[in-house]
Amino acid sequence: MKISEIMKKTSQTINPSNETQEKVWNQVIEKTNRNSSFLYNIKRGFSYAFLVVILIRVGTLTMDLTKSGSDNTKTSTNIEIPNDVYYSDTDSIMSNSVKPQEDPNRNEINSNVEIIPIESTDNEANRIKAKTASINISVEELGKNVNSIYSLIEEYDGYTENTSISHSYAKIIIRVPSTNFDEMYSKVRLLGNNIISEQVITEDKQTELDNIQHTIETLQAQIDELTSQLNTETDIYEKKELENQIKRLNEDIVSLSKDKNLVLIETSYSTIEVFLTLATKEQDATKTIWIDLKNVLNFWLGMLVKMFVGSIFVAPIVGIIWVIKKVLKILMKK
Amino acid sequence: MEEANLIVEAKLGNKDAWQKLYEQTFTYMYKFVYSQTLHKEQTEDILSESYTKAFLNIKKFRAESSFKTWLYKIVKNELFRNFNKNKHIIQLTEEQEELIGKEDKDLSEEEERRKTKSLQILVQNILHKLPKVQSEILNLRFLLGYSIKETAEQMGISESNVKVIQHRAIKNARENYSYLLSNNS
Repeated sequence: MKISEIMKKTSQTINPSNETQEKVWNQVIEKTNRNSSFLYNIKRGFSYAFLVVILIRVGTLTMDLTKSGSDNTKTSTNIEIPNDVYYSDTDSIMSNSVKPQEDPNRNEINSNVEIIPIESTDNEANRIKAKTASINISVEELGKNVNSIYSLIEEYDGYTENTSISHSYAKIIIRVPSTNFDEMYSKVRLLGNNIISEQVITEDKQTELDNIQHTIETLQAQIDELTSQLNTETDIYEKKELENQIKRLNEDIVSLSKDKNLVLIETSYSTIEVFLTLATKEQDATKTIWIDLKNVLNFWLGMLVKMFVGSIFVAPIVGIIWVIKKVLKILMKK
Repeated sequence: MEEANLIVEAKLGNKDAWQKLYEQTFTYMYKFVYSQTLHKEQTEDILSESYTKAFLNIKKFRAESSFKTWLYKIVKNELFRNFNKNKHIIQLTEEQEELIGKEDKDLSEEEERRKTKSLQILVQNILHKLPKVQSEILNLRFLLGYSIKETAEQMGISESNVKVIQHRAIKNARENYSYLLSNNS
C-alpha cells in the first residue's frame, strides 16, 4: 500500500462528530469570555504582581540571611569604624557626620600654607605681623555655611569688607583683629566638606616698625642737640639756620609717626578671603547622568537578582502545586 | 460571507463570524491534531486552547496569509507545547501489523474497524519518525489534502522544494516501514 493512500484513507477515517465540534466550540466560548473579562485580567495582573513581590521578598530575605551569616563569621576580625570618619568628595558616599575634625586623611588640594610657628619666646610672641589668608572650601549647603561665617565674624569682633553670593558659590572678605586671626581661621577651616585650596601669607612688620622708631629716636636726638646749640648760639643768622633744621627734623618725625601709626593700624586687623563652592556644582553634567544611570541600573539589577534568588526557593513550591493540580485533574477525569 | 468579511467581523467581536471561521477550519485542524495524538480528549483540549488564543488575538492577524494558515501555526505551536512525542506515541502490535497487510475484502466489520485504528497508529508512527519538515509536508499534502501550491504557501518555501522534500519523506518512511509498505509507494 502506498504511503499517500494510507494517509488519505486515514484522513477520511478521522472525522470529528458534530457533538465534538459543538463541545470544543462551547469550551472556546467559555474560555474567551473568561479570558477577556475585566475581572479576570485584573485578577491575572494582581497574580503576576503578587508573584513578583513574593519573589523579590524571598530573594531579599535570603540575601539578607546569607549576608548576616557571612557577617557573623567575620565578627572576630571586624574592624570598628569610628563615627567621625571623614569621606572625601572623591568618594561616592558621603557620611552624615562629614564635619571634618582635624582628620589627617582630609582631602586638601593645592595647600600652600605658611605654617605660623608657635612663638616660643615673649619677644617673638609680641612681634607685629600682618596676616592675609585665602581659602576655598567645598560645601554641601551654601546658606548654612555663610551663616556660620557671619557667626564667627561676630564672635571674633571682625567685620565683612565685601560679600558676594550666587547660587553656586559665595565670596566673603573678612577683616578680623589680628589677635583673633589664628583662632578664627582655624574655625573657618573646619567648615564644609573639604578644602579645595588655601593660602596664608604672614608679613613681619616688626622690623619696619623698629626702623621707623629708631629713625624717630635718632631724629629726636638730633633735635635735642640742635636745640642745645640754639640756646648757646649768639649769631642771629646761625640761630635762624638751626631753627630751620629743627623744624625740618620735627616735620620728618611727624611724617614717620604717621607711617608708624599706619603700620600699626594695618597690622591690627588681618584679612581672610573665604570662597565657598557648592560640592555638586563641581561635577560635570555627564558625570551626574552617568551616576544616575548607574544607580538606576544597579536598582533594577538588584531587583532581578532578588527575583532570581526568590524563584530558586519559590519554583519548587510552585512545581509541587502544579503536580498536585495535574494529579487532581487526572483523578477527576477518571 | 467571504473570509475577508468574516475576519473583519471577527475582529469587531462578532461571535457569529467567529463560529463561521471555526466551522470552516475545524475539521482540518481536528484531522491534523488527532493524527498526531490519536487521543480524542487531548485533541479537543489542544483545539479549544488554540481557537481561544486565535480569537483573543485575532486583532493581531494582518491577513497576509489565509486565516487557515495563521490558525495552523497556532495549532501547531499548541500541539508541540502539549504533546510529548516520546510519551504519547503508540506502538503497533504484531496483530495490528498483520491486519494492515490484509486486503479489505477479507476482513469482517470488526476487523475493518481495528485495521482503521491500526492505520491511524501507523500514520502517527510514520510522521513522528520523520524530520519535522518532512512530517509536516506529508501531513499537509495527504492528511489535510493541500495541493503542492498550497503546501508551499503554508510553509513559505518554493513548490519545487515541496516536491523534493515530499519525495525524501516518502523514501524515508518506506525505509522505516519497508516490511509494511509496498515498493511501489
